[in-house]
Amino acid sequence: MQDILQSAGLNADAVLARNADTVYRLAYSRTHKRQDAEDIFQEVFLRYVRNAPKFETLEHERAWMIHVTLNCIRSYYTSAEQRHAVSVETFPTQQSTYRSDDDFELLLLSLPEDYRLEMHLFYGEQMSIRQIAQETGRTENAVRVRLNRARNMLKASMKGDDFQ
Amino acid sequence: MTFEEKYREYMETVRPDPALLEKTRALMAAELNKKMPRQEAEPEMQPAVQKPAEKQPAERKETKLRAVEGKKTKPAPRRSKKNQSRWWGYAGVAIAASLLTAVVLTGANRFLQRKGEAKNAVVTGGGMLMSSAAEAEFDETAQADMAETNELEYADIQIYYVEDGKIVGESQYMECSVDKIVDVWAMKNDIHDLAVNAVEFQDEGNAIGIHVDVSATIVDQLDEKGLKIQALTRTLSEYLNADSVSITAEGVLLG
Repeated sequence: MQDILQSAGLNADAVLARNADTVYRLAYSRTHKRQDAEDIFQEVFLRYVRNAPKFETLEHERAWMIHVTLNCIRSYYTSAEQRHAVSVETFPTQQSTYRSDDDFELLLLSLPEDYRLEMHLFYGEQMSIRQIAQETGRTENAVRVRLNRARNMLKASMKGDDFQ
Repeated sequence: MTFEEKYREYMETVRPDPALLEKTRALMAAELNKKMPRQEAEPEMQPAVQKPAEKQPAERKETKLRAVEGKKTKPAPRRSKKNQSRWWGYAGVAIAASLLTAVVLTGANRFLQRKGEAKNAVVTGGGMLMSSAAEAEFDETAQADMAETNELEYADIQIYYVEDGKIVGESQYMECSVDKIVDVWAMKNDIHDLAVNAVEFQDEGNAIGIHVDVSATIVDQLDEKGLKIQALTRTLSEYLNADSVSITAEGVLLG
């Protein structure tokens, strides 16, 4: 299997190892459900194998991965299966989330789904507002406003904690 | 601790399962395996690939001969047989469907006429069966609905002809909706059609006037859009070079 993954000039194994955390965290930040994040994760790497893109730098590779993950998230949520699905989980469970007993996870879950993604790109992936705007197809101002709103929502919930 | 630090600490705990990584590796390998035969030909496959090359000289010869005879040598169309047959299939289904519809409609008409209960029965293309009485009733309802709608918002425009200070004739009413009034250019076109006779009448040295009767609601709606019916009517009168203008709102004189 290793041979196959390293063949055709793809070096798929190394790409998977380098980007697994980034892709998974991005998917999880939007879904906050393990199973959904895993589906998106697998779809991203399958797309990588199918398209076999040639990356010039590691930064290029990371940008491609983030871009495709966002596309996969979008198509996952617009798929017929998702549109017709009725969630039975009103609250997160230990099985579906990480640290569901943790206040911080619940705090992030209180944010609207779209805001979570932008918060992750900004705080988790350290992307600039311009980069987030390019990736999400919004204007820089819109991203700034949404980040600000998300921060205010969190600020209201995190009473007494340090917040910057 | 700042939010950013807290967020990063939290995200450190979010990692893909080793089992997920293994599963993804296996999926990627399977996908690559699927792709491989297409990209790289196996050694056993090579003779089969070479076969068309053997045919080439004969094909070239034929092309040369054709060229000598002065015939145009066109490349064969790239449509595959499978694709062609699919389109023939679609066309066949479409023709069959239209024939069937025609047969059903004709049959239904004949059946009703033979039955004699509904003379002049109409079978519409939409498959709706209606006797002439039902159709009339349907029209009445539709007209009543339309009238009800028009009661709410309308502007009726009429042109009248004045000879020696006396009204000697009047045009038909033209009914306008709010949208049409706002689109002054469309309105001008319509009113010009209405006033074809008026132009000739004016040429003979007579005067014409415009009368506009509007519903109270339309005045409010125009107000919301920042427009005045008076200003719009003035524009129309200038356009037609009318000598007098009167505006009434449901019969009450506005100006």
